[in-house]
Amino acid sequence: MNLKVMLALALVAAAVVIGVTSFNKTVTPYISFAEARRSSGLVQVNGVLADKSYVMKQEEQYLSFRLRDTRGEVLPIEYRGVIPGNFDQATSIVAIGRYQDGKFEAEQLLVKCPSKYQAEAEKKAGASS
Amino acid sequence: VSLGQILSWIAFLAALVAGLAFLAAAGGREGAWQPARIAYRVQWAALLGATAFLWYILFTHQFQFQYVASYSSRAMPARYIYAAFWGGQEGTFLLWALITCTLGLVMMRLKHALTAPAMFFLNLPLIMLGLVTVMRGPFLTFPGGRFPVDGQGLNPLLQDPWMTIHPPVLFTGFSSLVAPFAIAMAGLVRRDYDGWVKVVMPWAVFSLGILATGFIMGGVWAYKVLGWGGYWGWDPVENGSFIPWLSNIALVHGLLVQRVTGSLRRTNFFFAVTSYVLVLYASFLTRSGVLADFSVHSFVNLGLNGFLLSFLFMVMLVGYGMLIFRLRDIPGPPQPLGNFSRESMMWLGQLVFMLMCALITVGMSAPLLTRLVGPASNVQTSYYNLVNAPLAIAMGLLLGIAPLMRWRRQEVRPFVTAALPAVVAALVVTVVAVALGVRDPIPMLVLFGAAFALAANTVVTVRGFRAGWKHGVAYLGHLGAAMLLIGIIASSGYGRSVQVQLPEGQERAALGYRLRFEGMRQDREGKDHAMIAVNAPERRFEALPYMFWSEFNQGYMKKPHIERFITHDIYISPLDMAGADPGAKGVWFEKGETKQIGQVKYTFVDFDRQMGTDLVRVAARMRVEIGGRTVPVRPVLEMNMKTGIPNSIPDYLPGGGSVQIASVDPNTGRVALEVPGMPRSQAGSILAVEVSTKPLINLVWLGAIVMLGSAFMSVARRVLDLKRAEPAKA
Repeated sequence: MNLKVMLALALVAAAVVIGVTSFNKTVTPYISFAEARRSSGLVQVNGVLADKSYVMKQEEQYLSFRLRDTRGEVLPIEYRGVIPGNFDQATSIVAIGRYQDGKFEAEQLLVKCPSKYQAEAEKKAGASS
Repeated sequence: VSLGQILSWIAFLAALVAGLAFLAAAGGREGAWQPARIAYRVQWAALLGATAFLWYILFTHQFQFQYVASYSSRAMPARYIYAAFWGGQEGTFLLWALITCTLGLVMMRLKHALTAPAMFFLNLPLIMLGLVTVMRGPFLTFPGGRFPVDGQGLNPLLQDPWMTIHPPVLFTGFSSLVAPFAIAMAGLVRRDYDGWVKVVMPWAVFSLGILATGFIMGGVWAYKVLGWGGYWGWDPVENGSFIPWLSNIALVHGLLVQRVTGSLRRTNFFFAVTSYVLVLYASFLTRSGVLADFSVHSFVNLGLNGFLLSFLFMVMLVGYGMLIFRLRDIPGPPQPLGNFSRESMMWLGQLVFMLMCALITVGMSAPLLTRLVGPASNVQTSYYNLVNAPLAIAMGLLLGIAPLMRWRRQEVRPFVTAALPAVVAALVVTVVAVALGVRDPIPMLVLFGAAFALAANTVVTVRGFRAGWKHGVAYLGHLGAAMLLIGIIASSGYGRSVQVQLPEGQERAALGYRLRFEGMRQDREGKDHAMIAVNAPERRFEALPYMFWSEFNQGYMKKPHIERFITHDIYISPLDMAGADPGAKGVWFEKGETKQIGQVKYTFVDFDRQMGTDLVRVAARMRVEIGGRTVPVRPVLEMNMKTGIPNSIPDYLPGGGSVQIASVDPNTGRVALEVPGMPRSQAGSILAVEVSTKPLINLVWLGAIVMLGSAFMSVARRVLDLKRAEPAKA
């Protein structure tokens, strides 16, 4: 076998190994709250803010809140880091992190905001109630 | 039926006619050539007309068109109305069709045996795009004749000068990959397995340059406007433009090898087809909504999944099917690739590009792949850095080795002699980097490879340009790529970054810089920006990052401040503002609560509410003890439900000060009041910023510019080559 074929095979083998290990290391399944409670690795969950009783400490960069999923289940979440600006108006929140000691410790929060149209509709609903 | 819809139909029907006529012309009927050209030109004119009509209805605010109502509004400045054209998917399909058709117009001018079949294959996607413009185009009106008086406007994030130019450039790059696909198909049909190389070369290099221009613009936009501190985020949209580019760059290198040695014929057909397949796959992934849960971009599912998938499968079937059909007919290489030669190194380089492309494609398809075996999962962006960094080492080394080698056969000893100075230079750079704090082996090796490539290509570029610019341009591109690689490693891996809270008026230290937040200022467009006085060892400056409230997004829009130096940038990115909303300006009172502020005692008794048809009025009943007597005070907050604009009516204290409602929290029944002598700390706000340094970021931009310059010079070179070959054939 000549040099270039050996180099090529080595490259492919290295890429496959690196690819598979990196994939397994970084893949974060989107799972339900029940599954999140049972899991040990990095996962992501999504839902909406369950209620307005969240604790936000800007100076300490600390946030704790309760997330509710579509089934109505509630998961307490703790987050340390920069708090997304419009967190309390989010229509949906994605939290990436791990479940530890009875709560979900988020490393990252993705906040999806209402579009303008939806925001107006919600405002109207709020006014009539 | 609107003019736009009629023009869409004309374009679609003309595409069908042109397709049939090109097929006949490719089959040898000379007479079909003329009608094919006419039909094709009609199609182009109709698409151009439809484009003009879309701009016309956007600029004249014809909100009976759903597209106009969805992506523009009366208040938008003209330059963004112009960009609203590609604000939504329907418009981008029209843009895609127009660009593809325009490129075909250029291709049609070439007098070559491959032109007719190539035009037939180029016209296939146009038929598909024509169909979608007719069915789901931007010219659909609201049914029933009822339509809004004003549109929803464009996301302010997209209202940026870069957005007016970035999408059309990226789309030109995306669309342009149809040309290598079509010419490759023509080569396969005509059994012209070598002649297509010269024809396709300018197109392949053009795609390379224009796509790179597109994502470099995207990178600049991300860096300067979005403020996530980077220029590349491995977002599905970015990956989607990157994977066809990687396949295309593999094609370009394979074509060079084929031209000189006659080998890699099958490989090159494969890459030409794959590049376009990846364009379609990427647009399927990003437009179909399958990634909607996995990206901060909002992808809207237009119900076009079936269409996009069939488009993808059609191109795969036609492309790969034809290649497999001809596979045994394509002659093998006249001689095997040299073992130790430039072409075998380029072949390895192709492999590296292909592996990068495959691993990125796997990463961006993760939600689809994992759905097959369990819950849909995505990979974190760190995946892309993990898999690409080791491959970047190989790329840097090959980038330096290949240009130093001869074609066909290279003796080992002269190669070592030629490579030695570059190796020494790379070692010096690596040692300096280690001294500056690079400790991890992988970045260290990437840096070594890139520095080696930089040194080697500097030598061959100078030598090449001495022999004439045509001989130096390709190496110049490699030089740019090496600089880019070094810049990426330094700026993304070795910048320092810290988050800091800046209370108004107080000085804080971060990374050895002293920052003081001096408050907010409004610019002429009415956008707020923060004023931060920065005292850095390099120089003192005033940082003015943007931080303004956007009604559209119901959130803060932020834009970083970048202070540029030759060796690095200081990057100040606003993150959040606490106490900036009106509620925080006041002092909060619970029902029945008493607070003493200054010499005055305030008690909040209760709310009085009045509901009108479109006016809600809330009054706060207060008891105020001032100068030994108690007086009632009743500030009012009116809310106009139609406009949503609050109006605060103050009440006055006996001493002359005023009490005003800053905010009401209906959930907890609390009220925030602005009163005289309010503690200063409550009125001030806290700005959270991220301060970071971006070492050698200028190498990223310089490398990118050099690369692009080289790419477009190469296009000129390949066009000249083709032109010179043309009269000989005719």
